[in-house]
Amino acid sequence: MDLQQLSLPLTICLLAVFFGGTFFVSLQIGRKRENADSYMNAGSKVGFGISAASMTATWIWAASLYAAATSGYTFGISGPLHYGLWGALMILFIYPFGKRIRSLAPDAHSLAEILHARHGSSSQLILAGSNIVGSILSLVSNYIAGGVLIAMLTPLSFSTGILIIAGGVLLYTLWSGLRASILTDFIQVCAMLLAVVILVPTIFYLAGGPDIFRDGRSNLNQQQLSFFSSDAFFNQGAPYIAAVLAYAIGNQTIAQRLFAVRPDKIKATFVTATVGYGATVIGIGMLGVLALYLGIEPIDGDVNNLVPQLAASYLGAGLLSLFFILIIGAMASTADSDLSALSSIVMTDIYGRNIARPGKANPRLMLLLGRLTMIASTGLAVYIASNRLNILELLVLVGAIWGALVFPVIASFYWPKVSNTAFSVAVLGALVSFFAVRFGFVALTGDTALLTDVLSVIGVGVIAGLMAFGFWGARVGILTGVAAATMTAPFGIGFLHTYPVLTASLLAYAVSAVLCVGISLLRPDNFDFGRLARATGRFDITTN
Amino acid sequence: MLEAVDMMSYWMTAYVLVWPALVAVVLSVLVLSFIREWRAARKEGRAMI
Repeated sequence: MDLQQLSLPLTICLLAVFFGGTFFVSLQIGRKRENADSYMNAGSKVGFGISAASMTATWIWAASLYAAATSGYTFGISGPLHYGLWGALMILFIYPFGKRIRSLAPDAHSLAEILHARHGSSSQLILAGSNIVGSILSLVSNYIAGGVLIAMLTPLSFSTGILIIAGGVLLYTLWSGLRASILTDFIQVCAMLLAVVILVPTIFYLAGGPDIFRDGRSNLNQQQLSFFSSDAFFNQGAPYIAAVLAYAIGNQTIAQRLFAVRPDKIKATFVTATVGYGATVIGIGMLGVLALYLGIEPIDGDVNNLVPQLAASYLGAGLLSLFFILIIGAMASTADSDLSALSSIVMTDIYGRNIARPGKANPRLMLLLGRLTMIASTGLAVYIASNRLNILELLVLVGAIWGALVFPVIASFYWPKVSNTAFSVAVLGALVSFFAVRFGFVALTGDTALLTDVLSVIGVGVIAGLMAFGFWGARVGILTGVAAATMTAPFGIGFLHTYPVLTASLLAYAVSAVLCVGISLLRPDNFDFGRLARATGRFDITTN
Repeated sequence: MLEAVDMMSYWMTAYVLVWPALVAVVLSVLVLSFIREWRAARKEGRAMI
């Protein structure tokens, strides 16, 4: 089947409308003298509509749309659920923690800033450092996806595509920071959601409609035809649950929106983003299922090409333009969030809380540092993306650090006995065990396999327990964790080590939880949580 | 057997199309909330963001 391409004038027109429009919107909220705190948290009183749209837009990135379709293509009809549903539920599961964190430090700018107040510089810098690496990698992934899309659907080259997207995002985010990011997110998410509403049914009917499922059934094996595919759960769903919980807790882009939204709208924002993200990503994932039924082979054997390939195969110029905006919107909304996150980490966690003397941070210098950070980050990400440097190991590293941080971070905001030593030793111990298994330094055989299976079962209990704890408190959390571990043990021990990626993630949760609890129990005194609000506050007392 | 395959096609069609329908609901919630908040901000003479 021939692939449709957008003409050069139409491409330029679409990019000019998209980036010109977002730049125009950002000009409307621009201030001659921007407030440093508002640059990072948008004034902390943003309403439900913009907050929910921004949370949804940030959580949806181009890679998630492609990965959901890949999951559908690889694992069949349950594949998109094992990608989108778990990712969506994690937004829901973290909102109780978000409410607690916001109540403890209402004027904070980043999670790492609160960790500084709770434990000191070392734990703050572990989280801030992982956020910097994570956001740069996210920028790189988005720019690469943008370059590939532009190269496939338009006459422009990969490198030109990267430059246009990077320049366009920097243009509208640079001056007003998070305020510009979340306002333009609203427009971008509206375009993205509208595109999903129109494109998924259109491609479905143009590709053959309901007959696809009758004619293409023979292209699927029994696992791919099952809604309860164990293959899909153990290879996609289970590792993803562990990874995405870590992402939700560790990532500054989410925390930044948590500190921006009106406190009474946190729940509504997270619930709406849960439904919006889940439906959008699973909906796009259905295109992968359709491709599997249709027996389509991805171009160059690369499953990341599936979604653009389907769009270019079945859509005319008009709807293909809408698809183009969908993917550009997904990339831009996440990239502007990453730029805002990077700037706020440098402004708060590096300059405000570590370099400047307490109470003496200069708001003008902070703003300058924030804007320079955005420019430098864009340059670095463009360089890495243009040279297509391998970022897989770095992505694994960030995922591991965030996985190791989840339990100690959450415990630090609820349990006054958690100490800096407990926090740091727990994170480092979890990282060592993760890398030993993830990169095969330890052979999972004999007693080692038994030990990792037992720890993995504990890891399952920790994840289940944390999710229940957020909603229903410590008693239900502990009971749920124990129940989940008890139910998993009979089949998990002797089995889980056969999935080393999953085992490594579960080990990070188990080891960090065991070490954090064990060392914290030795602490004689309790931390006063009232100190957090006093130690995390505003930098800029001028106009807001 | 043929009926079972047709039923399967019916349910699979619903399974594919329910997600864009859900997205449409979320989109309308976001847009209506935005309009409501924009009107309120204008009435009170303050910036939305």
